[in-house]
Amino acid sequence: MKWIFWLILIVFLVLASFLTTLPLIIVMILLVYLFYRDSSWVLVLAFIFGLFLDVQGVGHIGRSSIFLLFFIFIVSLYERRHEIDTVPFVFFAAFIGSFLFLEVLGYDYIFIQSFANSIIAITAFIVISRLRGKDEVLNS
Amino acid sequence: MRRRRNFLASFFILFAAGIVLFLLWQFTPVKVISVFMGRAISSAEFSVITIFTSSQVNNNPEAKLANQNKQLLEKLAKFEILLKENNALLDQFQTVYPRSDTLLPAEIVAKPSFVPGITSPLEFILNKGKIDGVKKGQAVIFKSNLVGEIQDTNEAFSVVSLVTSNKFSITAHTLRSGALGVVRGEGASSISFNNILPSADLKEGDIVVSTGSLDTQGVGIPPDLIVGKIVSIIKNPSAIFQTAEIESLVDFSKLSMVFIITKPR
Repeated sequence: MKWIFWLILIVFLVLASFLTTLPLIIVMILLVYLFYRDSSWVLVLAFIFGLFLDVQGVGHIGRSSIFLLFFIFIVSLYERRHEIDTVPFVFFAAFIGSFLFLEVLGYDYIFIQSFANSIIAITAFIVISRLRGKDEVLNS
Repeated sequence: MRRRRNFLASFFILFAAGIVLFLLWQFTPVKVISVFMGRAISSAEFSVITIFTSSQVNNNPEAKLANQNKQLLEKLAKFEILLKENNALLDQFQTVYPRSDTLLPAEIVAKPSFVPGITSPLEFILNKGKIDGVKKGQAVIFKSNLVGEIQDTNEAFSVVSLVTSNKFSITAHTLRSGALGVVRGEGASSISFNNILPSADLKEGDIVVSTGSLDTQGVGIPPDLIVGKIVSIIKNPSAIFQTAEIESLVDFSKLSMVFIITKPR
């Protein structure tokens, strides 16, 4: 199951790099945090993904990394009080994260891109959760 | 609790690293490294796409021929562009005034808000900037004709306000009679020649040239650059000044290369 998870992430990274302006990096980081939240290396991954995005887009270095780190930090603060392994949370986190990310970067059609990103996020979340569920049943 | 402390510590360290990188961006070596890496990644991505698409083309002889035809057409287009640039350079450097050693050739990379057949260009963006010695206020010419003035510049590009732009205004005089006035761009390819004394001798067809407005650094519009020719005169007996309409001798919509006067004479 793990390899399917990482395959989905690699596909998102490739798409986000040069095929679409959708901020799939937000979805990627959110999913990594949801499924591996006990590790600090999620933050390292967010930093590296942000750097990659800035270098590849020849943009202001550090901007995306700072945003992604802050996003994960806010999600971790929310997690202290509320459940985050839910479809509504994934939808709203992806939507708000994408909205703010696109606003900061100065893209057009922010609302529709954020909405599309949220749909992709909940689809990926449901698929990975179901596969994970099957995996846990098989291993038990 | 320990995991939470590790998470917080990692967050603050990486956040600080991000801030440092963000602040270091203003230093040119960091920018250069970042631009170099970005281009390398884009080239690698482009190569992957090219390998993937060309492998599909190579299997099909008709597609291969069509591809070769496209490549030949591209080479022909590049050759035509080079020929045009060469002719423009040759024309300009055969012109006696301004002197060729004071000129910096620049390609027009954009004509904002220009729609062929609907609107006329009022600004150009050139591919030369501060790194090449371009400064705000320098004159932009084509042969002996004044095209405009550098309005804004950054490291790599410059914005030129054309003589037709309403941001453009200089003092000028007619070559024949020396009638002095103020040239102003009125937008939409029209130029007005204002503040001319009623006693001044003006005729349709008179050539209007710049009077000159260089500062002590040699930056500005040099004298005797052709602004255009008078196409109509408005002489109202009750008005304090007479006005004329000027038409530039250059078709700005067809220009692809201009010259910036960077060094004073």
